[in-house]
Amino acid sequence: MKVASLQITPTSVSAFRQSLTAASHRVVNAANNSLDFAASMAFSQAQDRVPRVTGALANSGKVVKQNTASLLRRVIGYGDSSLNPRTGRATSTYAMNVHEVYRAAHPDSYKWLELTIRQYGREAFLHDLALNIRAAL
Amino acid sequence: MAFLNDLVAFFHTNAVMPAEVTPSDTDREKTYLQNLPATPDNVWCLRIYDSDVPSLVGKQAGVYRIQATARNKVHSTVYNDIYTLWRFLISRPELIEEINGNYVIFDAQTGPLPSGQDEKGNYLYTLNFPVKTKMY
Repeated sequence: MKVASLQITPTSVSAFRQSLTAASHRVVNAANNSLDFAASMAFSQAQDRVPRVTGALANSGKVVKQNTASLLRRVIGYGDSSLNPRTGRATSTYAMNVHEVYRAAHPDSYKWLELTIRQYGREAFLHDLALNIRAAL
Repeated sequence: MAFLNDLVAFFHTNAVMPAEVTPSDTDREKTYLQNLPATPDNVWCLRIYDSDVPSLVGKQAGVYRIQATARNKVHSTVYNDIYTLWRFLISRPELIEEINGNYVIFDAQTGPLPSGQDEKGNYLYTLNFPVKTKMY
């Protein structure tokens, strides 16, 4: 016969709760760092596909961290107040048009951001996320 | 292209898109598949730009990602046209349609996008929506 003794005291409960809190912080930090990594991977792939004539549109691309109290979020976007040196127009005024309208001159750039996110999301996003969280823990 | 042929015919029957253009048409202000032509100005284009193939779980069910593009020299016309199509799609959430013997489920998740003007000054709007259907 085997006997196991278990003692629960206010001190042990408190220590257990502290260890859970610490683990929770580690998971959130790991997820936050992993999301930075995944977003940078996706952005790098989008940059490989964005059409480049003057480079203004590609240079306007960025990853923005938009965390809230309950949500970890990264937003990848193109188009801002930076000007196209050839036309003088702000990149924000034509980024949507370039993304949405198919052009025979840039067939691989059609929907460069949406298709990058879909393909990366389908193939590697969760894998990268899980690996990085595990490595951080 | 068979799926797109059926889809345009379905939208045309429901009065939310012109019929698909045919080689014998003299009035060519209609709907084109996959490629938006340089002329005429007032046209539609329906294209499949991405797809999720069937899985072991989904069996034959796959998803076509469709982009509808409306182009017109009059802004109010193209605006009304694309919103008419969008309202038609969102009035059917989760409802299974039968098109030419195959089921389809429309799942418009975003509204029409203004895509500016082309080099001739025509206004462009696009609408992207996934369609779940039997792929083979």
